[in-house]
Amino acid sequence: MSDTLVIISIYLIFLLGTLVFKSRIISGPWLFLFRSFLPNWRFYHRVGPLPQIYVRYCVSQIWNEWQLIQPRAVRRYVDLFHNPENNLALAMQNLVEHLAADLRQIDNPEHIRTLVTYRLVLRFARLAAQKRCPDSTIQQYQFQLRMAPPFGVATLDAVVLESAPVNY
Amino acid sequence: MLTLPQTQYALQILLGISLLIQTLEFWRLSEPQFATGVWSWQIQKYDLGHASPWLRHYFTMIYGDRLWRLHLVLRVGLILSVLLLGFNLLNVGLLFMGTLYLLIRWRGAFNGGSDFMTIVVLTGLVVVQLAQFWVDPAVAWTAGLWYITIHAISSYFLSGAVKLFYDGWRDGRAIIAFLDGAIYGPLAADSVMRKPVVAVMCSWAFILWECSFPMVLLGADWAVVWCAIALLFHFLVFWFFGLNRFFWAWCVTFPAVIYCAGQLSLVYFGAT
Repeated sequence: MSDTLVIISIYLIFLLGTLVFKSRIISGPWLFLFRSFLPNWRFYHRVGPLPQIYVRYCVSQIWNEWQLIQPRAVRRYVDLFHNPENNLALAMQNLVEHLAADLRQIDNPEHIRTLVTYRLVLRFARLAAQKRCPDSTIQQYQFQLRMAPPFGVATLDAVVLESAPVNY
Repeated sequence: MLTLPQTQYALQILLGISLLIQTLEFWRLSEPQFATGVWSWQIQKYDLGHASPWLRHYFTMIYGDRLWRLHLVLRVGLILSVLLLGFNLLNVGLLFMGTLYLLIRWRGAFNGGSDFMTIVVLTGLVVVQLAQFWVDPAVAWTAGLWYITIHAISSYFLSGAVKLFYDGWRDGRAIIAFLDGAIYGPLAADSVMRKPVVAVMCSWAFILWECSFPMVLLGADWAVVWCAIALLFHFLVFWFFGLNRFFWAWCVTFPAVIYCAGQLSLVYFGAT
């Protein structure tokens, strides 16, 4: 067997090994910002609990119903070449997933409100409320993070985080 | 089989297109990053709460609205220089640094996998440019192209293998769940994809094709066929999930994959 084939075989065995053997997860603030250097190629690998954001707002002292905010778009061929809005919507969903991950890792859930992820999601909720109610005067808004079960739909008992009402 | 100049040229054109698409999208997305936007640096700067005060001040300065837009204009100039003049240490190095600048602003990644693959390609090209100070350019290019190829093969293989280990993919339920949750979803109630037999067939087609991607190393002809299928695969990913950047980011790697496959078969079999 040639050296080349040996190298390729070792490489494939190594790749399979990374799937079988779990190593300790290394994390850190700089690693988070430079994580593109440690690519994760496990796309869509598992249907897990899906973090979803629900928003409601208060107009004239009346709160509306919780509304699910999720990325939705109209399919167009031209988006293959220029697709900023949909990519932004997907980035927003990633942000929500980061918030759910932060919530799992944080020692004291009360500290979640100090995190960048939480504050960005709060802005996202404000924007979502504004889009849904552009003409009226929103007094307050708030968001809920719910975990939709795999292959299921998030219900009210799936709430894992609720922001306090925030003045608009 | 592609020659080295053909590979370099194809890489130059495809990378130029991919980076140009990304940069124009970032230009359109400048507003959400301004002070009142969702992605305001006034909030995001606390990601650097652990850093020294001067470093935080430096990042706040470079992520000002004007410098951000100026950088995007300069980036377009660098991309045009790649398209028209080819690669050199200056344009490759600055594009690499600029990509880091963009990604830190988007908290490490804007579009996930396409960012990872763009960094992989630019890292490979930085390796090529730096290695040329010490070794023959052909050797430097071989090293850089192999770096890109190994990552491209790993991306397909790992993506397929993890699906193979998950019963939701093997029985077809996962593909329906992901399509329902996708940006264009949910699937219509009478969609053909909801038929279990269709879902299972599609799932297994993806799994087997992705897992078999290392077979591109058997020769350039195999690589061309697998890359052609990859083109269709990435188009479907765009069509169903809206991930346009993935299409271009992986297209950029195909010249390297085909070149390396050809080189390997020359060494191993003496032909393509």
